[in-house]
Amino acid sequence: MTKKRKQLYIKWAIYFLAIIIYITGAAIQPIWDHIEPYVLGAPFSVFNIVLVQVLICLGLCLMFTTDRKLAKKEKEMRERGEKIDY
Amino acid sequence: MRKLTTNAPLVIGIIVAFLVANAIIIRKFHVTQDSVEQYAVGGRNLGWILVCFSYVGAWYVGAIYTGWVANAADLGIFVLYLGIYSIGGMITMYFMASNVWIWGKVYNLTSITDFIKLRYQSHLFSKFFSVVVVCVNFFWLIVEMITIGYCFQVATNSIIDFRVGTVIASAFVIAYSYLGGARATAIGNVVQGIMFAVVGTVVFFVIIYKTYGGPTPLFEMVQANMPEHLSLAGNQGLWMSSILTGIMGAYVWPQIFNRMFMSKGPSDTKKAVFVAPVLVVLVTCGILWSALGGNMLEGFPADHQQGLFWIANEYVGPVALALVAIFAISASMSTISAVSHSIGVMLGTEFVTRKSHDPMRRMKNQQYATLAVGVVAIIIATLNFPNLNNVALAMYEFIIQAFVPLFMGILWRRGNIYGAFIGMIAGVAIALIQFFVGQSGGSIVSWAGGFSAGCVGLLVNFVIYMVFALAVGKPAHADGMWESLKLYDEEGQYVSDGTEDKDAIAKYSM
Repeated sequence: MTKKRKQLYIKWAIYFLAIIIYITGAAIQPIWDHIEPYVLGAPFSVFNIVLVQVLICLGLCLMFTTDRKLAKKEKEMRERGEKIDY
Repeated sequence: MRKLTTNAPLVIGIIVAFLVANAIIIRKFHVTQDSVEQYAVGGRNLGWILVCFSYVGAWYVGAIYTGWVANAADLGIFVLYLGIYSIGGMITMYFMASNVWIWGKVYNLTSITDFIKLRYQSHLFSKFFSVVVVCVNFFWLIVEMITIGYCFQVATNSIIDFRVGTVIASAFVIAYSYLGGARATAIGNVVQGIMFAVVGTVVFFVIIYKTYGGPTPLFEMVQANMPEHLSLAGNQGLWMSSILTGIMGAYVWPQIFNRMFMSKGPSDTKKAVFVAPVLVVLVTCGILWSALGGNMLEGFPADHQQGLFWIANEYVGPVALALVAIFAISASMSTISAVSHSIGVMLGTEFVTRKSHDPMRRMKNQQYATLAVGVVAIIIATLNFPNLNNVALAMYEFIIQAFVPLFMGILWRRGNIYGAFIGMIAGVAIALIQFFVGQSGGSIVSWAGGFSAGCVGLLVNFVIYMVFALAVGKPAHADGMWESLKLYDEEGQYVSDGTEDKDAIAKYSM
């Protein structure tokens, strides 16, 4: 794995970790035990769960797009005979 | 068993038509199996759509339509943890995909235990690892076969008996897994995955509208009658440990891990993130929301596992019942094919073929192992042991212990056999003690704030792994493995510039 890819993965790992901490930690927040407000036609608890899933989906797609750009750049560097840092 | 449908012949006809369509499509794309690589990992040549649906198919079990539906009716939104950890599993896949694919290509790996053997250079540990993952996986194979039989019985008013359904559908799946290997399981997964994930999503949202008037009236009904179903109160610890263990355990399942070897390159595996996570959200919301208000519907079956079938028939009609049965059968079929094939490949390589250097002999052994695993599982499934579902769920506690040596071994070269072996034994032991203590209602982790024994074991496992990694340091072969990562790019193209340390790469193999 190249150094740049490693850095990219670390950045995204922090993003995903934050989301997972949010949804697992949210479970112990008092809001779950009360009558909840509705957001977009769903109780906040359900909305929260769907929102987290959507954020992970978007994160994965964006991560893949950035990853592809990086792979393209590495390919060009190889073609030019430049050294890639691992 | 309660009779659900008023038109059993129509339901049977639709199910039979679906099975025939499966057989025709799988036969059309059949390729003669002539090597271990072809049989075990589809020649490492499957396109991203095949790999994507393979993931969805191998991951989504038929029990979601029965056991999880019953849990949704009983526990409410707690069951939505399923969607979160299924998507979370894609994150772990993403971080592992590049390294796993390249090592698979360079060292000709065909299963999760091949990787473990290469990474830790220990036959004893790889055997221990195989025994743990195979035992756990085998339970799920049986549960899925039972689920198929159950679906046949419920959907056809018992005209097709549970045992007959189990044997016919399971034998069909085992036959194409035996004959067509990884490619056939992947093609089958696409057909079945499109059925239960794409068509299924549309049907379940139709069911939600016909039954409750839409998602918002459904939630309002639940809030008015059973507000506790929209809360996680009392289940916080379980909620956290279910999500965490699910995310970590996702790619420890051999049938899921294998998918990373099957693509044309790491990029093709990763492309699945455009489709699989979206399907995961839609499938879990569609199925579990449909069942969320089940308990509030008049006439809802006492056996909540029948709930979805009953709702489909009662509020939409027999065609919807047949479709729900097909979705459940599809999900079970795709899991059975993926699990029996991956166990067969592991057993064929790990326990039968070690001394054989003839590649055709090795492939045949993997085929026979797949067949044997399938036949034994069918026999056990027809005996219909009670509580097998609960045992299968408890198996998560064991299999996640494999996460530490696997994930850490992929991303960190300092990890070594001492930490991997001792850590995993400690984790499995904690889960095992709790399993037996739990049978009599006791708990050895009551102090852990609701976290499961599997989670506690995982923490101990991780600490031991880290201590040995830091104290003993990286094993001699690790540099060679990491050096080999320079040989292929993200598209799976060979890009060596000749400066890699080829001796170090070739020095160690499985």
